[in-house]
Amino acid sequence: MNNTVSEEATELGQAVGEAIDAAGGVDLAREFERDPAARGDVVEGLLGPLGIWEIAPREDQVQLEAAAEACRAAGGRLLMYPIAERLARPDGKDAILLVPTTGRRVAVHADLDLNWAAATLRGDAARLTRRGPLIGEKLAKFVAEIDTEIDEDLPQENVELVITLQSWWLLGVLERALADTVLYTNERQQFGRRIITFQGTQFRLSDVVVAVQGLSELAKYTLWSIAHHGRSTALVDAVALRVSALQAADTVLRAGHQLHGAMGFADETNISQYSRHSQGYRRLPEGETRSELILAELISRNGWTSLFPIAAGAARRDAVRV
Amino acid sequence: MTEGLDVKTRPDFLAWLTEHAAELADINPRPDDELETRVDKSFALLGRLNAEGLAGWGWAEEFGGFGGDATDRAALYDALTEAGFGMPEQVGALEVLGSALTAFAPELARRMLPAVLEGRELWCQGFSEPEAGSDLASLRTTAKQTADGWIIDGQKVWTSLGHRSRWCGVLARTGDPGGRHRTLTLFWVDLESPGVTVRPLQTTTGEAEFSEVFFDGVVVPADHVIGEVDGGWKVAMHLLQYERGMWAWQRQAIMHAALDDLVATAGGHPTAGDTIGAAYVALAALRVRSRQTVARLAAGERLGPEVSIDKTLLSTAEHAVNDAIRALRVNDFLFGDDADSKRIRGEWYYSRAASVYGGAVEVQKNIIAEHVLGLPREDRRG
Ligand SMILES: Cc1cc2nc3c(=O)[nH]c(=O)nc-3n(C[C@H](O)[C@H](O)[C@H](O)COP(=O)(O)OP(=O)(O)OC[C@H]3O[C@@H](n4cnc5c(N)ncnc54)[C@H](O)[C@@H]3O)c2cc1C
Repeated sequence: MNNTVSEEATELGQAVGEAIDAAGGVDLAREFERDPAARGDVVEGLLGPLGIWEIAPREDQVQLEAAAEACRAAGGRLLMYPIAERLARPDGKDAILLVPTTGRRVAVHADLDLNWAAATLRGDAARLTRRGPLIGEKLAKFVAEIDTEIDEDLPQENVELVITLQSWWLLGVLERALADTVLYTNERQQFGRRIITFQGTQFRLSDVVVAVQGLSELAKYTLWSIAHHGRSTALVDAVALRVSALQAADTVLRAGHQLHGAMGFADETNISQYSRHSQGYRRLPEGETRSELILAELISRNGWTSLFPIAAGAARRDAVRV
Repeated sequence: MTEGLDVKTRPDFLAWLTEHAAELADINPRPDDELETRVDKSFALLGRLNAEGLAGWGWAEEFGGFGGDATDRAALYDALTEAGFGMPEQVGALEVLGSALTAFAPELARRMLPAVLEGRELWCQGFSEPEAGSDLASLRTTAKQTADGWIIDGQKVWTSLGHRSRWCGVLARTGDPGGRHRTLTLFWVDLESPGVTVRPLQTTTGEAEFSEVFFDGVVVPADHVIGEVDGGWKVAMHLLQYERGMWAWQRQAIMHAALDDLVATAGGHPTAGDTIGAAYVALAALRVRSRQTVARLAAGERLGPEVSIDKTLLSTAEHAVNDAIRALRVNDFLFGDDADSKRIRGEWYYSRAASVYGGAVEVQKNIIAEHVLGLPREDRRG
């Protein structure tokens, strides 16, 4: 596999990041919270001119990587806009929405007036029959009511792609949360020293770095898998990436809150924003436990072709022993 | 649930509360009420319980109480949650500051305690500052002596319920800043004094739980010093036993009620057994430890650094219980728009704060290592 990202993709990511930063960066999330209806036009104005909607991630690995880097850069500024869903749109649609299989019917960003395809984490295609208003609660500022029907006749497209690109968006958020926490603990002085110099703080930050690095490697592997494998294998890898992203998010944001002290609970602090606005993707369409169950189900149905297949290795060892 | 708390002369709190629960429903500060409503109802409830001869047990008669000790207070907190009441918002600060006032400023305690017990006032604790959190001894708010009292200047932050409080226990510097904990004094400050500004802060979940409090030339009378001048650290160490010990007891009662509710609604979630079991173990450990602590406080023992163990068990239990609630009620947690969903969101974020307030968990571990186990101090490698 190839675990470096092409220069073109990195450059696009940078351009996306700069465009969002110029418009206020993370403050845009605060602005969108006050006026969610504005986000369509604002984001179009920022990202449209960069040509990102011309990216065709299904065409080749370079374009796939470019889409991923764009999502990561958007996540790194907590851009509350369905960039992953739009980049992963199937032909003839504007975007693809991941919808829950149990519980209340809601989805992140479903308020936006787009021609939506829909699918579940299991890979079933669905039909969106109704889009309701935003719920607007503190952790669900960009979550809207929906109605859906599973539709087995619909072609099942790009589910693994949207799951993967959303995980890249989350990766961006987590990298940013880590960077901000390092910055904060490096500046914050207590007991006459920077709190980053306490070994307790360093251990905690090390755990976070390990979680984020692990996720980032897996995220790159998953791109390669999507580009090189059939849909059923890629879907398993995509859901595995999602599970990994949810686990990493818990480690990163837990530590981020802890190391910011009381400051982390004041909503004016960015860590509070990351924690709050990432909840949607972290709990929807399925939370960690259900994502794990679905992963297990998919593995038993589709198999798991990893880089170093454990089962195959065991079989080989058995063969040698015989 | 009150097993192990010896009932002496006090009334049977649980029986009374159970009998009157329906009648008092309107003034029950339910955990799913908005903060401001909870405070209003807390005033009404405590006042009523005091009039009925319940709230006030655990405080000496000379301070307006009915006599008894910390176990009486603990029994009331337990009985309240068991009978389906929310914890009155005043009792957190009452435990902390009431214990300081009665021990170090009995004259002030006689004047001040009745207003809280009768449900007329709320207090807050003004210790932390923007530059002094974990390192409390570095605080910069100053108190300068005048002919007839003191003038306070400075800023406090994260002051819980500051915006609803009448009085604040303010720790201020009365000598050389280089003196660290040796030049601090605790003052009893009227937040309605000229020169005080209170600004509520928005928390992650949107409640104005804590405030910034600014003091600009605030005049404090001479008899509003708690303990000795430059003796504030000793008072602070005394009240920390209640802040860490009694608070843990109050929270374990609240968490028991929350976990009970969860058990009733968890249904067939795939990891319910595992998740709830782990939370229950953490909570049971906290309760057993905390019950012992309450008994020791009641016996007048000095707990000192050991109470950091209670605080550490508290943050572990808070994380486990509220993670369980979030995991098993994920839809409510995320976007439920009813009052109960708001409560579990608020409680979850508050549980995250449990490893920060009252001394961060890392600081508690340092205290346990250095002062309970007697291990060498961490190398200060700047
Ligand atoms: C909900 C809530 C309510 C509060 N209510 C009050 C109140 O009513 N009155 C009041 O005075 N204060 C209150 N506080 C403030 C509280 O006391 C402080 O938050 C606490 O002392 C930690 O200080 P800090 O937030 O400045 O964190 P900092 O001291 O900046 O520490 C940040 C983080 O750095 C790490 N750290 C710090 N020191 C060390 C060390 N020595 N070793 C290893 N790691 C370390 C820890 O992870 C810590 O969480 C409240 C806080 C919260 C969250």
